[in-house]
Amino acid sequence: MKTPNRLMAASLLAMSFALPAQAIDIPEYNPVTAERLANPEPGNWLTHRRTYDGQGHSPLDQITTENVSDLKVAWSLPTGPYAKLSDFAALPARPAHQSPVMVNDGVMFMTTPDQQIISVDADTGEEFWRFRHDLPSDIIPVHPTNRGVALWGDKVFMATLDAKVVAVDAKTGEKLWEATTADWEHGYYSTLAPLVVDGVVMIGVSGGEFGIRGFVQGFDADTGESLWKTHTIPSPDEPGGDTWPGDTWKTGGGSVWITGNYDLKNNLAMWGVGNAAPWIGDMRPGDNLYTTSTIGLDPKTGEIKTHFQYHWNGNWDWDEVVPPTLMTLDGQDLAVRFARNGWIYKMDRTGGQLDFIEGKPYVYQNVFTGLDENGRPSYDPDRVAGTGKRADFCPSAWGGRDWPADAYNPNLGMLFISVNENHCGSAEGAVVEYEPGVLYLGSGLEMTPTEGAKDHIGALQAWDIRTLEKKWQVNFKMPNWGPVLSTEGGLVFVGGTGDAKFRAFDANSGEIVWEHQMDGGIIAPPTSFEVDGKQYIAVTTGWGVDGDRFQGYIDAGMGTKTEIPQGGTIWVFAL
Amino acid sequence: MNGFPILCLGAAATLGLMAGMMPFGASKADALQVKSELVDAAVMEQGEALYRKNCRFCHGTKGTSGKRLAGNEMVADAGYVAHVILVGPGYMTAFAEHLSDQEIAMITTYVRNSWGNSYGPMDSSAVAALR
Repeated sequence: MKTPNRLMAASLLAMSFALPAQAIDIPEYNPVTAERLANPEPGNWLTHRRTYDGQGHSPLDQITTENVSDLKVAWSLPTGPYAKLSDFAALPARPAHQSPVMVNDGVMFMTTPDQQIISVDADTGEEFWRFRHDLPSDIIPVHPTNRGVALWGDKVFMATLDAKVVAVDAKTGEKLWEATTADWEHGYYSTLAPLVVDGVVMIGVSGGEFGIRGFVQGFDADTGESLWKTHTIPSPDEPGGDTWPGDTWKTGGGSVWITGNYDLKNNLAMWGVGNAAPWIGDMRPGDNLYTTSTIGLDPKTGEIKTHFQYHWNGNWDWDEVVPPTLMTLDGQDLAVRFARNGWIYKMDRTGGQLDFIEGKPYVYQNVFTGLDENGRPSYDPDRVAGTGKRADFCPSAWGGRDWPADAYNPNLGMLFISVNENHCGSAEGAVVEYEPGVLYLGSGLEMTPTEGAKDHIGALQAWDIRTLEKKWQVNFKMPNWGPVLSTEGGLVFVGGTGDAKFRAFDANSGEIVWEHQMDGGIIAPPTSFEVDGKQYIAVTTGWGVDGDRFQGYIDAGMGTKTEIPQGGTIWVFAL
Repeated sequence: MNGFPILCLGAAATLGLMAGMMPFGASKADALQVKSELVDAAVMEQGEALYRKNCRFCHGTKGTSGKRLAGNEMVADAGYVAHVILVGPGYMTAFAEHLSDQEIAMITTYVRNSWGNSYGPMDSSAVAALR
């Protein structure tokens, strides 16, 4: 539904959605093309990580380590009012803003957890239009969030909590088409931003916790016609099908809830696949391909061309949905992944394969006893839970990193990532019966902060990708859930901490060179763009979902009570 | 899947057990067992509707998902069941602000007298006393 603009933004009444549309149509809009996505103008942010390689790096360099102390708020815009997400009052989590603000020649787009797309004048903060996707009233969103839009031509695309994809007119916010990807009543839903490659709109589905059979699906950007659907769990007659016993593949999980990157050189869409269902490995003996893997798909056909599995027969809720960050360093085409399992994987992607080069832990991890020459881990059996067998392991289910994106500065050859450490987990399997749309875990979820958590839990790490050595680490007593922005000005921008501060770090030293107190915690990716020759930094506040849950466990373990402001505002900064 | 939900009596109750969170004690099932036939059919019907809306998502239609309710001797203790619904220990959502005493009593009654469980009804005044 298309909804009006500024009047609504000022209103506190959700019923304002019923007002007649007063949106401002965008008079001129620069269509997004394959060429522009492949080589975006320095001042634009056209896809979720700005470039297909997922680097999250802006080439803009007006804001530097020398002048960043002068960075001030240019404008801000509350993203409410919000729609009621569900008739189910006891929502499982606070809704969270996790969308980057994307900018195409001065036109900004972002999404909200109640499934709105908001279009804004990036220079002034004036709203152009809003679109809201209505959810079924009886849906119970377990991860109430949305991670942003994708742009193609003169259209804007969003995937939704009721397992749909919608396309709207970028100029007007009018809905153009809607497609259903799966049955939400069977536990399927989407929270990620779509990925568009050459007119194919790709999405993935969440719902591993409900025993879905995960997939990536491609749609025709113009018509919404489904072009292909590639399951992350192969059937018995497909390659990898022999890694699942019996009918376990039908409910094997393998959700895809973070947007993939695209390897332009090898024409492969790199998608990360979540963990298997149920959680406990002895309920599905085998490697369980392609769970906890990166899969490389042909965007035109959906065919799986390559894959790399980070850990086999997963047992710890370490899903590996974040795609590898792609770079070319010293002439070598690399894919680098900081896995949720706590290890870094450096891979050679020459020729479209993911060939393991080197791996090492980046946080304390006590499950792996090592990686072989192909990157396959061996396990300490005492750290592997089973049905009726309890095991403790580090890190906990939230891993060394969760979903927040890392960023890579190609000039420095350095990657920056938000991590959490000093937390461990426990699990014990119990027989579970599958029922569509009902949790299918086979285990509880336990997390305990360790003695080291008294010093810190969250951190920002900087790694030299050439040597795979850590260059610096800045610790935070509280967890860090911040996606990272790198800029050509030698800066790294991150929120992510419960004190609701937005910080800039010197990329070379890790020194905090600027910080700003926000109205809420930040778990949305910061971005940078340019309008009329001026560089801006943008981010949206909106704390909730897993950052909130994780903090709850920390509080329970440490006997503390932490109140983190929720926020819900687009903030834009400039010199 | 991400750091996951949520609502359930699921592992929340597991956590409660592990942490010794049993404010009402774990009574022996057979000591408290009451014939389910003594439970009002209309209450069971309403309790089932409320269960399906609020609890099925985690525990399943047959009480066999999340923390298993079918055949779980912990549900013999009505006060414990109602307490868990009210406060939502672990990662279970607290329902205290969202359900009335009567609704919690009906859900508790339904859980205690379904899928082979047979422990008798719970009264809303007993829920009120727990708030």
